[in-house]
Amino acid sequence: MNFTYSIAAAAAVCASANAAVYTYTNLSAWQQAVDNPAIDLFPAGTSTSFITETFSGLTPGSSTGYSGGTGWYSWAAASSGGMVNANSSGLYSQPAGTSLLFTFGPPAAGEAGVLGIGGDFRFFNSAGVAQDGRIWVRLANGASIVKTFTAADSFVGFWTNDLAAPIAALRIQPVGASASTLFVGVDNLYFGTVPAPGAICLLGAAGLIGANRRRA
Amino acid sequence: MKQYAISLASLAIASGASAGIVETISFTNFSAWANEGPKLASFPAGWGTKIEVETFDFVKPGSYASLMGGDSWSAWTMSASSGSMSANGGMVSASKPGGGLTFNFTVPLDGLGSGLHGIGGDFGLRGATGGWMPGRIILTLSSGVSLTHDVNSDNPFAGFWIATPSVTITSLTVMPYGDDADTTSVSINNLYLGFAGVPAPGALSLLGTAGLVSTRRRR
Repeated sequence: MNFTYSIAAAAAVCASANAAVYTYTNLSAWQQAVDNPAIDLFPAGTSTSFITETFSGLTPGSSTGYSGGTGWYSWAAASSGGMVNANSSGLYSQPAGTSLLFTFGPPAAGEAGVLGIGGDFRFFNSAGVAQDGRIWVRLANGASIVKTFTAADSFVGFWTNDLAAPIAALRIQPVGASASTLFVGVDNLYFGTVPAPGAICLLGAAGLIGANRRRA
Repeated sequence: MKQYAISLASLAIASGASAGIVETISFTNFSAWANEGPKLASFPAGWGTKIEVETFDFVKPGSYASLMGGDSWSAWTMSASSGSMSANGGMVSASKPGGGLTFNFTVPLDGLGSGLHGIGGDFGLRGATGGWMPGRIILTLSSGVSLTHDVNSDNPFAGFWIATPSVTITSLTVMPYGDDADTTSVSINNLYLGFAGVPAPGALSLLGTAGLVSTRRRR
């Protein structure tokens, strides 16, 4: 009887009926989000994998697009202005005032895809000097944040608990008074994921069954 | 790493929101929330926006189980997760360490979704003596979007706009978050409420009257 209830409860966990997105302005908090019981992103004991893309492997120059990563953290970058610039510190949209767009995946079989995404985002002027500015960081699932980015405060990141709908795209768009004169870019991109939905369901079921056995 | 030309299809996917949560924009700056939020939300043609501020000045010093205020689209009720709230000098805070604040709002005014689409506040963290403490809070909106925000000054701003026309804000919960979550409580000094929707019939009547008067004058 208890086993039946456990399976049903685990199925409910896996269905993730209430999709939620958590937004972070601090890298450390974003990295620790999965382990924070206050938000209950995934079942307790879920392992997390992180990948950092520094763009250091790119040949400096300009192109209509760049791509990198592999499997669940594969990415492609393009610009609403048509050109993307790569240099020693990251990727930037060209010309000034245009948006930089990243698309991810799709994940390979057995992978959950991108469930966490974050980045160090920057503004640069035409001389390549970092400037403070306001950027709209948008996910394709509808969540976004508008934040003033500075050299000391450049991180924004997200997590979704929706295993059926991993993060498919991220767009960074300059906004505000100086938006049309500055170049928006990213220095580092941070990817996060957890085991594929099947494994999460088993973890949830195991936890519930274990809890029932302890009660019995 | 290889260069490649990104497909138009993938650009189309990322240019708009796919199925998922409702479109929700988070803000950590009041000016951006008030001035750019309504523009970025791109509400339907014919909709108007306006902002009201609740300063809590009407709340006398004391302890409360709940508070309420506003009217129509801006009506709000407020309670603490820890059971009671303390009010003093225009600031309201959860009474017990680890306590947060929950706000509930009205449903849409009409079938189009006119009503509360923007919400923000000057939120802080209080220690045992009532003084402000640095730390981190998490704001959770009824749309399913949460924002964790560092509190590095007395009352920093955090807020949201829901851009999906048919969906209004029905609740906001603000809780301490992180290492010091059990020793601090959430406070608020100002609550900012943003309306978006079809202007009320009275406002439309006034606009119509103004238009008629202007037409007659031109004739």
